[in-house]
Amino acid sequence: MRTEETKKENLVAQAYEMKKEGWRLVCITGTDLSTDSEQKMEVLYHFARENEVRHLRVETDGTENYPSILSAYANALFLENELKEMLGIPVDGIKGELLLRLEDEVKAPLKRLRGVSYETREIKVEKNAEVAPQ
Amino acid sequence: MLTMLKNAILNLVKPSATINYPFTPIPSAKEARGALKIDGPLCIFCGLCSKACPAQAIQVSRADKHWEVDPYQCVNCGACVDVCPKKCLGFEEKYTAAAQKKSNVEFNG
Amino acid sequence: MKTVIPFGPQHPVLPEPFHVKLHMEGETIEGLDLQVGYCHRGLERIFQTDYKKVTFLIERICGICSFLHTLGYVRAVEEIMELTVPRRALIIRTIMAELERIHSHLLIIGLYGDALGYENYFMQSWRDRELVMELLEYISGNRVNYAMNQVGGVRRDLDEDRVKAAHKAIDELEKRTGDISKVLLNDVSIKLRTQGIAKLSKEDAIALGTVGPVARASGVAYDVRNTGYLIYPELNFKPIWETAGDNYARMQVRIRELFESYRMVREALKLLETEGSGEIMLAIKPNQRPNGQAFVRTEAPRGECFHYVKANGTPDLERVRVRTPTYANIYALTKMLPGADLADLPVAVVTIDPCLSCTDR
Repeated sequence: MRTEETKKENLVAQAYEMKKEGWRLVCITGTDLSTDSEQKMEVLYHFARENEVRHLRVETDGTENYPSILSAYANALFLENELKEMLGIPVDGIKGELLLRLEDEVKAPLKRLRGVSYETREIKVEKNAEVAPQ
Repeated sequence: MLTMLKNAILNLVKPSATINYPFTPIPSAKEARGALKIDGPLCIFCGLCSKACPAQAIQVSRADKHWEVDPYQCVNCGACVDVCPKKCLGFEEKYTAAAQKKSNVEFNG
Repeated sequence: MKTVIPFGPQHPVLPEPFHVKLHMEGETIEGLDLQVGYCHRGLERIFQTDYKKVTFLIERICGICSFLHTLGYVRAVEEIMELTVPRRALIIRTIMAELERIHSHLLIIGLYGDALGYENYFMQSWRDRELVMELLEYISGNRVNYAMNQVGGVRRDLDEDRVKAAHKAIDELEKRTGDISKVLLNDVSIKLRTQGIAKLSKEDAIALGTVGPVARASGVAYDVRNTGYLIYPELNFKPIWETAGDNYARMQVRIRELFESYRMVREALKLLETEGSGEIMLAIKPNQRPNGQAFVRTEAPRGECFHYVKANGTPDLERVRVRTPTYANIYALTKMLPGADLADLPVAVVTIDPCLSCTDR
């Protein structure tokens, strides 16, 4: 599998271009590659056109604002929501409350905490967390 | 119209479609993976089955010569049967019967 | 008068939970908000374990397309490890994948009858489905989660008795499907309730990224089996598609696919008989471990299923990502339903064949 590196500043323009060329968005995969010393996440955009596939790879540290390609691809809504909910990447204009309904228990279950392995991670339950608006 | 009539008459004379369980056993397919069983004396307590189990249903202790499976956690995949070096694990064709209490299947060597 | 009606998460017509907030104008639906995620189990996190165990865990994403999940996953791992799977294993995988499509389509045809208020139809269709379920149990040993696939091949061979039983079951199923499809395709009252209702145009189907029978009913002839995995090229596979894009067309596509599947299973069974027995599983050394990443598309009964596997040379996988067909299709409801009546909602929801345990994982 060959991936094409891209910067997140160019992402939206590139998405529009690919849409024009007839590529359909298959999936967005976020992976946390953080180690103890450095925080790093990669986001892969998988596109397909008939039998061809293309993969765009974007690196982010997971804290800065991240562009949304929702305006180019309408089906990115669920995928970007998942990116925010599972990895905690702040995607522009995405609320992140479509898939997980566990606001007060777990935040970003696939995100690695620096220096803490998954198994020993403690889940804090905040009793009086703010109530989601109806 | 006529197919319906045929069905209706057939249903009147056909025997019942349900099984009087548990008095009549449920028929199972040949070589079905019903419930995990162990041929005890062959077991060498190597623990490979416990390591291969995706559901963490098997516990093996080499020191105590103890083998134990939780049939309610077992997913009947057969990964343990594949790795067993002595071929002492296998499956019964019959599914686990209904029980009032949960209990593990144990074997002490 | 404008009203907002909540539909789900628990509702008699929904086999699995999801929530729709309907914005109504009288009896007509104007718009809707979707909410899924009621059966999230955190499976993608659990998959970060030994790659051989994941084969058995990944089929528990969903009980209906469980074989397709293992198929996509083992194809991805085999691509990473550069394994060439024995030919007999590929034929057996094709047979299993098509049998599973038959069982999934018969299931949704039954539920469709149930949503229309035709419960007798539901019973007939599910009685026929029992034939293929029993065949799957005879072949694999389990009724639902078959545990057939493993990295490097399949775990059980089809002997002569099983091939014979499969031929017999397929003949019987084809006869019975011919009977039940007559009602579904020709009955006047069913046509009145389904034709021209909950339409999805071709443009919307492409823009929303729909897959599988939902896209093919709207005139998008997109089927991943065309990309030539397993032995589909040898079976002369052609995608089946319709142009109407309504409830009726979506079920028509499924019924035509059933007959196509019967044909392909028969031809694959003949291949098994003529080629004789052979190896079905590659031996993998314990120190041979996946290192790299792979992206694989597989055609599940409900549409294109996507698997991404990233491994780093240790037995534990780094990331497994699954994008299931319903994940892509369910959003199309927001374009299909506006303009339809409230009473059409259950039927329209069933025609996209929703599987929420796949969607939420």
